[in-house]
Amino acid sequence: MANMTQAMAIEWGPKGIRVNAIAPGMIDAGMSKPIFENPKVRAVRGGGVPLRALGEAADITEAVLFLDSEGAKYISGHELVVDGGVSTSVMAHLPRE
Amino acid sequence: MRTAVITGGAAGLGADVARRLSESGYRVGIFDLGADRVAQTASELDNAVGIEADVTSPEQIAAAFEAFGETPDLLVNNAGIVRFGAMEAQSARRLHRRGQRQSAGELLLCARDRARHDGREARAISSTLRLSTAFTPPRGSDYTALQRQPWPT
Repeated sequence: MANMTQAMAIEWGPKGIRVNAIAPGMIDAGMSKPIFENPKVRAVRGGGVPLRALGEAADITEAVLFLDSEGAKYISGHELVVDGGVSTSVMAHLPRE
Repeated sequence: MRTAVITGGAAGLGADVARRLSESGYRVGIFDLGADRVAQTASELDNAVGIEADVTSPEQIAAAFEAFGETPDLLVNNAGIVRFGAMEAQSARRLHRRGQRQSAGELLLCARDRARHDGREARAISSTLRLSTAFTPPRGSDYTALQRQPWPT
């Protein structure tokens, strides 16, 4: 879908249509909510995020509003990762030896 | 008034997005499966209309946009489905179905929406990808297979 987002952004940009993707991390809402009702899972998963918290639905909805705002008028073909930094923190979780 | 269509907007994260859009002054179209659920969610929001539609069906997408009645300024492709299980336990048919929902469904929606945009002002399309952080292999391999990035634990 990331590649499809880029393809559509290139093809439809000349028509004034911006196409972006939002990539949520661990969000305590929707289909993930039942999983995070377990306090242990919540603590371990939230604690593993660089920002030390699970995301909220509002974190995603604000990203949607931003991408549809005047402030994002020159942003297209972008994948906006909203995950507290977790997807780029693999090395922080691997043992050194 | 700005307008927005959100797929999978009757429940879960999609409903949260629909609610926030409504509170921000958008007229919101909720496209989702399950007529009762769609109607219920839409009835709880201001300036929202619920339309039952399967995003993998070109005919249903066309009918849904007709029912919404105007070209949305914002299209949020949120609809998706999830199944659990190891890769070996998956059927090609099931994976195809999921891919169809999340990719072909998105393309159909955007293509339909784009056709209505010709000659108009700037519009925006946002799609939700999922980092598969909550569902890890092997239990969530089917989920992981069609997401952006597997997250080993």
